[in-house]
Amino acid sequence: MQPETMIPASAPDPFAMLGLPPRFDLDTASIEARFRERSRELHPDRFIGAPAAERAQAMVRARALNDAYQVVRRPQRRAEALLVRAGLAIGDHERLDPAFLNEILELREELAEARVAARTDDVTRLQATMQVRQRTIEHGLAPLFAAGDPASLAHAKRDLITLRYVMRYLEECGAALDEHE
Amino acid sequence: MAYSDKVIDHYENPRNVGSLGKDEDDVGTGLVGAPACGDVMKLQIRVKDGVISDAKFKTFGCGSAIASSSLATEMIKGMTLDQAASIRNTEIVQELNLPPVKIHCSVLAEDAIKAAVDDYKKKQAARDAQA
Ligand code: FES
Repeated sequence: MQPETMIPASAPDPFAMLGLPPRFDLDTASIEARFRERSRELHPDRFIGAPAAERAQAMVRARALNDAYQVVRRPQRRAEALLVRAGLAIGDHERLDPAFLNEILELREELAEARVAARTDDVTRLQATMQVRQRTIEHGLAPLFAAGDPASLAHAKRDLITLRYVMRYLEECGAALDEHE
Repeated sequence: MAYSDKVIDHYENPRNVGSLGKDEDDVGTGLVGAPACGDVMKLQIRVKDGVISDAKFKTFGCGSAIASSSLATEMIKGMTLDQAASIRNTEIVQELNLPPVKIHCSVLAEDAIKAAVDDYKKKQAARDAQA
């Protein structure tokens, strides 16, 4: 398997762009420091008087750098980027445990009903339960990526797919609460 | 983003929203999710003499997903199982005029039909094995 070839040309490796090692356990401070350093190199002021083509190119690179930063600084997206590197990108047709889908469906239904009936307490309760799940998954990621063996990565992938449904759910909770503020 | 009139119509007046008894012998249930966005869909069919006599859905997703599943349930009524399973999301995309970012929402509907047909067939096979 050649993970590198799995990365689509449109999405360059965000770790490489920032000059950071492709690891999960990066601390926020060093990610930010690297981003600032790189941004200075591409700062528009440095290209004053440069040919237009060069300026335009610097701008494209600055934007790409910013995109890379947005990926690497967020644990969920950083973890997904590591999956891509490992050739385990989350696809559109991932098979999920039917019991899990059923559970999410029922919870979405409960949330929709609470939302329509403006039962804010219920929405808050559902949100709190889901937030616990989010944290549990997020905390579990570091050891899985530290281990890095195929079984751990497959486990991380399953958890990250679950996390997408969890985050979507929390988005809906947020929208429901905004409505009734 | 502007939704097409057909999407809005199916979204505002979705056809066939609801549930069928998932434990009934002649019902097949398809439960699918879109990892791209984290939304979920349930689509159920009732089968009489090899033909889909009724279809219901519940979708927790965007307007395009609701419209796609509403349209899907309308399309498959009266079809045989094989006809229904051969429906492609591209037909839904065309009919509803969905933009590229909403294609995964129509994929959800295609997958849900297939999953419902599969579930029904499995149930039948299990029953035949018992008989
Ligand atoms: S965005 Fe999730 S189904 Fe359309």
